[in-house]
Amino acid sequence: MAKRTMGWLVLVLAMAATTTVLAHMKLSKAMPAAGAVVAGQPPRVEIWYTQMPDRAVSKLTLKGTGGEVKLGAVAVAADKSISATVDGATPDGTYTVSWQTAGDDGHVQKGDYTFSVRQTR
Amino acid sequence: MGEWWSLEVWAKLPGYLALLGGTGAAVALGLSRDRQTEALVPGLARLARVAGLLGVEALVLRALAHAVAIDGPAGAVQLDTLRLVVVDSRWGGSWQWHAATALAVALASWRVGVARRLVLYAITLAAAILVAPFLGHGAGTLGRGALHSLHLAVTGAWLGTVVVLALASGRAPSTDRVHALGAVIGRFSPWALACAAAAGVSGVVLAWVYVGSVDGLLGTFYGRLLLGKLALVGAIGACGFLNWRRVGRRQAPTLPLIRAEAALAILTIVVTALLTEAEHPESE
Repeated sequence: MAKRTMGWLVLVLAMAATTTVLAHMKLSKAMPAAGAVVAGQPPRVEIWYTQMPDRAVSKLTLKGTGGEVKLGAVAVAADKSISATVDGATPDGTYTVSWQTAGDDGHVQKGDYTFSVRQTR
Repeated sequence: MGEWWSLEVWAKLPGYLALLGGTGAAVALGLSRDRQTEALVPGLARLARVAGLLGVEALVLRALAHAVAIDGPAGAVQLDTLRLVVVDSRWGGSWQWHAATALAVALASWRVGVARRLVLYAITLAAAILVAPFLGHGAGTLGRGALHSLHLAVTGAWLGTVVVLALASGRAPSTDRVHALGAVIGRFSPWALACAAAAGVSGVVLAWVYVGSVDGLLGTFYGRLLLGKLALVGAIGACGFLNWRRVGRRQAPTLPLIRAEAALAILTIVVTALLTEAEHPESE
């Protein structure tokens, strides 16, 4: 009986040992970074996560004071990032990047951050 | 990540009730295979069918709730979004397995009162329990998924059986049913003890994985919710212990205690559904 109990405990702990990866996906970095001041138009918006983003549910939008800025199609890369080229014009001002994606557990996660554009003269 | 009041929490609830209720019905039917306990079989078989239908309803609800999470309320009525959710997304791949097993459980629950059908029902339930965690926190890591499945199976065999026995006893049970209930509880007690112990160990390990520290337990919404769940489980254990002592003394089990245990078990499942959507301490 004690041997069987020990066997179950070892099995549970072995399962636990394989669970060190965090359960939820988190944003690890972004480009342009949150709060950054960019000189000139950013070529693209790219966000990296701690897990592989699901392409099917990933979205990116960029909004400035003049309204929504046109972005290219959202791409997912092997380095756990989603990105889109900035196709519309980005005059001086503050821009909000809104993102949506999902990690391994399928939880749809959303967030936003801002950066500013100051054209070099 | 959804908020605790999000639609996804309430879409998960019928799924958990279906899995736990179905497991409980299978265990209770397995323990009711003689003349002394046959009075309970029709009621238990009916509950297995209800659990099967609830599981199918839950899988539809989860797809709709996921579509709402992606595209807002309009997503639930847009075919493109629904196709994206259940076909194109990674979550959809797991959902398809979930759907296949939920349908298999619902079909196998038909005429489950017949002894030979119980084995098939148990196999489909085991498959549903194995795939269920991969539609949530178990996804991405095989060990964690297996640990969630183990937790789900033993919790279903313990709390699910309690809920099913409380429901099968009816509001004003006949003498036959009370005797049958006493006999089943007597047979169930050693299993309940073993399953409660396994649920406790697997639950503590999962809590350690997701909370990771005493600060996380005391200082976060997730941790406090988990403590609430532990308090509920403690109360269920106390009710179970009191009835186990009565059955051990060859006294009839107290029906109000069984019903209280069942009500607390359902409340525990509600708290568990909330926990699956709450932000983990490691992310806060």
